[in-house]
Amino acid sequence: MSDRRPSIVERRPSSALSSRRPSIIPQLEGIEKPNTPNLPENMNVDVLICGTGLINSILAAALSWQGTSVLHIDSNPYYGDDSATLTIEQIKNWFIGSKFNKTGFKNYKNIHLYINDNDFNIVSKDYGIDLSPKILFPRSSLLDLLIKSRVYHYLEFQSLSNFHTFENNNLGKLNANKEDIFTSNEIDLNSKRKLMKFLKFISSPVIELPDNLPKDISIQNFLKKNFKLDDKLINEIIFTLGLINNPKIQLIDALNKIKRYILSFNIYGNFPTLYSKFGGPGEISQGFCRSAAVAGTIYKLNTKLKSYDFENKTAILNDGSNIKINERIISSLNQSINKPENCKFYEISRIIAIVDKSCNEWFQDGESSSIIIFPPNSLNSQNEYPVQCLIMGSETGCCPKGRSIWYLHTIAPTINDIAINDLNSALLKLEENYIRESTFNFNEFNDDDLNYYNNNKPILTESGSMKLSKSLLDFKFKFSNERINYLMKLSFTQLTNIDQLNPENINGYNKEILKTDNNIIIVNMPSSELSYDGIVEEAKKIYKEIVGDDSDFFNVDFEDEEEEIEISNELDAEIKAEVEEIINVDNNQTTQSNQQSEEFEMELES
Amino acid sequence: MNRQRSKQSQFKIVLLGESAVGKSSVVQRFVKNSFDEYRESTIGAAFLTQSIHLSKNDILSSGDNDNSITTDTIDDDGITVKFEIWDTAGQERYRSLASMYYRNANAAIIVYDITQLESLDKAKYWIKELQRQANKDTIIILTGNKLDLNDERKISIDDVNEFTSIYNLLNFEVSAKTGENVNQLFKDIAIKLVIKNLKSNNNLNTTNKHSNTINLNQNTNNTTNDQNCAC
Amino acid sequence: MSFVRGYSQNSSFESIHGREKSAKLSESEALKRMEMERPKVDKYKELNELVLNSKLNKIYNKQSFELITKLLEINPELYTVWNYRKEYLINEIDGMNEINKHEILENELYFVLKQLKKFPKSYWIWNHRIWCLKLDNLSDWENELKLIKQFLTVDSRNFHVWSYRRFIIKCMKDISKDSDIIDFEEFKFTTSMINKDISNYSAWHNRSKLIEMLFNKSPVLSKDDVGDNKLFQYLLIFNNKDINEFLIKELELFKTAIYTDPDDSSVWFYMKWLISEYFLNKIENDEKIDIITKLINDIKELNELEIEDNENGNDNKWCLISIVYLMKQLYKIDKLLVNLDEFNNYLTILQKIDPMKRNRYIELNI
Repeated sequence: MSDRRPSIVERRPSSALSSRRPSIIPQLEGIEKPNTPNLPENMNVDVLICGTGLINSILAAALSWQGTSVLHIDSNPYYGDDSATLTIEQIKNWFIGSKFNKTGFKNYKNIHLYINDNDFNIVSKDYGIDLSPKILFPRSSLLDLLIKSRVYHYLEFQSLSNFHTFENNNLGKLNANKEDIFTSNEIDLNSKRKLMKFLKFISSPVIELPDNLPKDISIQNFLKKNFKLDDKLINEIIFTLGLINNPKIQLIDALNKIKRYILSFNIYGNFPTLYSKFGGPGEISQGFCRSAAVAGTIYKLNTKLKSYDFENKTAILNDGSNIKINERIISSLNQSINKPENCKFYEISRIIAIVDKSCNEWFQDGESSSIIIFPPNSLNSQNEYPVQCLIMGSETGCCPKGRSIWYLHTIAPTINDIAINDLNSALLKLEENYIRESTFNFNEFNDDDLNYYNNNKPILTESGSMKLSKSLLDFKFKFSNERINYLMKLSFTQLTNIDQLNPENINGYNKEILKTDNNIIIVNMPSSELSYDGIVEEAKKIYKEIVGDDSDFFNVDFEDEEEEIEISNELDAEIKAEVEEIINVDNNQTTQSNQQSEEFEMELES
Repeated sequence: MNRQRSKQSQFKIVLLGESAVGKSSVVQRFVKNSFDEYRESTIGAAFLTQSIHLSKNDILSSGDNDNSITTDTIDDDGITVKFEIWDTAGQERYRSLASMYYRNANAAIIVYDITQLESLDKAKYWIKELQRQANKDTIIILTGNKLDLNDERKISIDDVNEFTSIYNLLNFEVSAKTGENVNQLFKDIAIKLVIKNLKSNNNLNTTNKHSNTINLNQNTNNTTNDQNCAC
Repeated sequence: MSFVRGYSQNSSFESIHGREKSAKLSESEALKRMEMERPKVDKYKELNELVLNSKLNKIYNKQSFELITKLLEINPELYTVWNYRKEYLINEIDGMNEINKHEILENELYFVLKQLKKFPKSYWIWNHRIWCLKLDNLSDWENELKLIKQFLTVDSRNFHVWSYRRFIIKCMKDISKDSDIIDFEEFKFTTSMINKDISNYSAWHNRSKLIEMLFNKSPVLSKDDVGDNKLFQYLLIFNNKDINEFLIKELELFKTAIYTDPDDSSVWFYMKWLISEYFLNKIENDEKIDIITKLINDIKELNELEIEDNENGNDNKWCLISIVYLMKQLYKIDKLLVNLDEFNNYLTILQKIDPMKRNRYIELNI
């Protein structure tokens, strides 16, 4: 391993830190190339895991807490693999590595990277760029696992409330909770009623479809016929609320995706989703790897599998070490020495852009990220598939103040440049909308519009959403010398061997376990799913393959204080209940006063 | 009836250094006041927490106080400092610490073994790594462990002093085995961090957690169990 | 917000379909736990006896105070013990100056707060807090309001918190020159709470109380002072004591609410208060008739939509109950305005769709 000395740029205090004293550490002589110790000779492990992507990392932690001995390596000098969170320097290296990949598979194609080093003083480590960004539903198996495994201790989560839908050249914020619907000036009374009816339908514990439903009815037609919703609301519900990227999804799958959004409200507060600060899956991977390390997993980055003798169960790594594998090797697709047979590839196309704007206009007060969805046929490119877009501002810890990161992706095919045209078209719309919303002069508009503005900031609806009223729609770019500059723009197509249009693979993962001809278990690339749904199940599936049973998946008895406190609280409550029963002191008095009712009793019978 | 309302502030401390220099033992001594001779590598909890209380006088009379902090700045009750101490969990062995480890560390204790000459050299690697990955204003404390084996000492305090003065680091020598100087080490760190905070006028709220961070272990339910479903 | 488990208010549809707590204990574990608790229960009984004895003997020393504290920490519902605690405190602060008294009561408030975090719906704890504040002449009302806000964030419908809020507001008004401004601020606050959760019965109730007070006396403020245009319109109505205009405006809000959720009883109850004699007696006959007739039509319209959506083609119960109520109000004004056949038809339908309350509907007959 050759360690790189910090570049001058890196040692320069970043803008955010400029008030702090600069580093005064002189160069440290003689330690430019510290030797990373070698793995012990004749090392013997139960499982070797290659690649520190999220699924692999969850597996490493689950297996080692279960008692399996694990060696976990990654060919990169960082954690996260295909879902890593990278600095600008790391993005550059990733670009070179992926573009000129000599070994392993080319799991990325059409890669283009533009970095504007000249106009912007880019401090590499101020940025955390996700190769496959994701958001977290409060009601999800990953969240449960984060708590159960205590990995959440290492992470910070923030709320994400604003889900915008692009329509008629405009961004509209989704009204998907009772308060928004009740207070919205945008929705007419009857739509309010219908929307609420649908939300009640979808939030019932078990979704019951009407008996007389035509076979194979699409979600679009179901919403239209059964709830009489208009096309605009239907688009919002399916693509924005449901975060569905396949318009041909089956009805029940679609309803379940919509339902997760609704059920996630008010678990931690009045917002539907969360994201982890400082980076998405890359950050969470690090958390699980740390948990795995605490349980005994051995970590060695910058190391990859060179060959595997399946008969003798011996693996040779690129650092020369010889590892005896008692059970299995698990590898991500790109770090494996060979690929599963009959591998067909499907595509996810992405653009990641860092812009010189804060984008606060798109965020809810106190938040720093939002989702923007371009439903099918909303773009000039006549997009057949939706484009999903995640905006991350500086408070996410992923970029400096005054900047933001835009992530766009689609599963549209890449033939005839369809995908990249859709993405670029969406990017352009984002630019136009941002400029329009951040530069108009609110004094020039009539009184009706003024209701929507306050302190030079559009407040529009009470929940802080962004919506332009009618006359503003005609707003011409009066101040359009304002423009958006790109610090970085990265576009690429990511390959996955799972057919994301196949209804079986609802979250982008399939049921079978992929294996190479020498019995290496292959973990697939991150899916196009914007949430973490499906990841824990994917990890469990492989866990079961190795352990034989997933009933003890993270069934760990963490003997620490936190648990004790929780138990003692519970005990107190139980004791209290019992005590009340035994003593029965003052009981009558208490109940009476407790249930003393207000004068506002208005029995309808007069 | 005593009110526990004195101010509290929370800091993240990370431990660094080669394997087997006794990083975990130092923390163990501080947090649990125990020592395990045969402890092999880091096991158990992911990070430990421990609080120490600083009296008003601790802060005012500290050498770090350049008189900019006066008696009015601090509550009479003093300040309670809560440390969140991150141990390497073995990930340092093959130089595979995650960026998460360094993030927002308020202080880093770099441990070497005073009986192992090369452990000080290796400590330099970690200083450099810290420079690369952590905040610029992380306080670095170079700490020699195994003071109980003073007879076998290979690294003189003068050498270390020279080294730390060049690199502007703090230094300390402790024994996790006897406990010598361990509490003093953490108390000094606490005082330094508190004074630094008071100076930058941060109201002692510079914990790593931001106010809009959601605690996943505290969800809305269970507090209100007799609500009717509003459906 | 560090002090309570839970983060935000629980306002919308899914609030109670929450995350389950830890899995249920198995039977053997439960038994084991009960065994473990046994000594605790015995100890509690002993403690209880000790405290009641020292109350009987009127012992007011530090030691007995500590026992009281211990006991109430386990069980906050023991009102005799709370009374004993009050006796103790009265005894302690006797003859003290205001500042020392305040110090003692502040400590007491701190204890009360700790208890409320554990038991936010215990009447006796809230009662004790009010008692302390009444005794203290140096109370920090603003601080209490902040506290209330946090409690409402956790549970926006907690009836105890709302009554406590009314108490605090009353105290603030007693010492303020601008009690009407306080009322209007409350109106603002309550409006925002209703927006968050239209099913918040306590908030609608508070709104009704405030409206009564604001019609009595309302502050004169500029549009800028108020900020929000909608609220400013309300203020003008209060200033002008324009009941008719108020009802028209408020019924628009009502209409939005029933369209948002036609099955939410608190909104329908609120409408009943709006169209009660309290307001009707203050407006002209033709105004009454206009308002009620329009309202009946609006509700009928909604009911039609509801019938359309309902699988069995049933009417909406709340729509019909309200139409019946409104027709009765109309009948009081002028008998000729009500089509009795239609009225009786509604009652018949109600008996069918809500058979549990059949007899009540029969009694409603004119």
